[in-house]
Amino acid sequence: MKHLLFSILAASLCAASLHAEAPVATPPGAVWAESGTITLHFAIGFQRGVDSVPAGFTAIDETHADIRVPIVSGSINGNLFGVRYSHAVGETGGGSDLPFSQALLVGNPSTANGPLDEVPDGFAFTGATAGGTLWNLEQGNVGGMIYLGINSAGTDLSKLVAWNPGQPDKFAGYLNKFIQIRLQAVRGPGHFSLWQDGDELNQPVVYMSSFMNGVDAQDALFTPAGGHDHFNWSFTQPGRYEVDWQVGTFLVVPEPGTGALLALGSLLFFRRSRRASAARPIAF
Amino acid sequence: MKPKPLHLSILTLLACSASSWAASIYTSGHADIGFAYEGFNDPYNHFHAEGAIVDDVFVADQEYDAADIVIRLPNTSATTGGSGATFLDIAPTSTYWRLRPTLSGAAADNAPYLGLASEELVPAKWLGANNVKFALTNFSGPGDFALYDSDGLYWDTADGVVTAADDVYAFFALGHSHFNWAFSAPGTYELEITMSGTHLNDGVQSATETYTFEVVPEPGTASLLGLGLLGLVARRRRPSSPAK
Repeated sequence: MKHLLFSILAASLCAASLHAEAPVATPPGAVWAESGTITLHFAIGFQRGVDSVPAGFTAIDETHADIRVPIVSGSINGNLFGVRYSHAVGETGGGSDLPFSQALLVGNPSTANGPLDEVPDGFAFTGATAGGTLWNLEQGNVGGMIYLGINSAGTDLSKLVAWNPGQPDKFAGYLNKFIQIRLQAVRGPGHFSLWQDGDELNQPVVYMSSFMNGVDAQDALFTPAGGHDHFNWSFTQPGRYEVDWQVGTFLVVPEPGTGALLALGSLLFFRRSRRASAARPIAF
Repeated sequence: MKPKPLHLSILTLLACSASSWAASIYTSGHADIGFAYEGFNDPYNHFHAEGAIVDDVFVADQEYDAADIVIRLPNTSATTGGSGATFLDIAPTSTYWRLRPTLSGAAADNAPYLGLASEELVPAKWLGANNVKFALTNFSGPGDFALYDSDGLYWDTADGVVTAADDVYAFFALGHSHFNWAFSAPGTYELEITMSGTHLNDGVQSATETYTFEVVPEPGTASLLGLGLLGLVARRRRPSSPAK
């Protein structure tokens, strides 16, 4: 019975979660929830007017765009995630929303840095090589390229529980209502990394790198819920990339009123169904 | 004199500097000092809260005149060493106060995440790729100040020169970046910031405003100051006490 109750509660909280694995011990009164896989589509070295946009996609270039991951109503609903971008260069506010499956995030030729004389100290994690080129969608809004951020504005903070990811090297070694974004896979001709300029010169803060140790549990970003921040998005080869992410956080366990009613209703339904099915002859 | 009002007035003075007591206090979250163009010959140098805590209230999106806002650095922003110490020309072991250039870093300090932005300007209407300029043109305060990021130093006062030519960050229209804002001593600072650019139809546009930053001292310093003030209150109460 207890197990059933827990299952019903968990199912109501994490409808999108397949394998909910919390990165740290669960805080009291919290439950870990994750989205399903979301896939970002990048076109690196893409030239508008020269290269053709794949069917079903809108190319987003030279504008402010955010990967939006709001967590509302106390549950993770991947249908609310997507890309929001300004319509045209110079336009701010408002903008359009696209699902990830229709948004082609462009790294145009101006994002290319190279050929590199050497890989600067501290940047080996990118997978760049001396003599090679690194395509970097820059953290600062430098113009001439996409200005790509991550945004969880609109999150209902009252439904999230504060936790400490214990990752001071990623600016996440303190208690806050964090959202974890975990890298799951990268498909493309080169390596992908997500990083930020640090407080100090030449001390980048690395969140994700497909080059360093492949893709593992360390490839994760912890961002304060409700916030909006910008990053460097680096690629070592031109071409099409698909980057898989999973979004997770600790949600508040619903008040007994809501949870118990839901569980009770589900149990009654379950028992009714069992009784009915027991009484009814099984038809083959 | 009744002691209680005196005590209160001292506390009030302690909490609110003379230059800022009527202004709103920005204490954490995201905000920018921004350059907008409101119409013909009407550049607007302003403070833009976008997901910031102002007067202890969450502000999703609101603009303020420079005179109406105080940017407060909490004692949790105190640090030592690094390039901040170099740019402020202080010893690596000396404490300084710094707003950090990343949201998570600022959130870890429970401090403002403050940037510069020209993202309200339409690029097609402004000259040049790096012709929108944010300059520090005047400065006052109990210590020195530096604005820098991982690419380098843009504004600094420790060199004794504060001019639009020496202390400048060049943008393009639609720009937006975050920085380290470092101060070498607690107290109140006034930063005069001049924004300029060339509008293709209306010519050179410039707007200058002064922003107030309050650097909250470390608990140790604050406690000493508080003790001193309490001592003063006690001293002033004694002559009118019944024991005399």
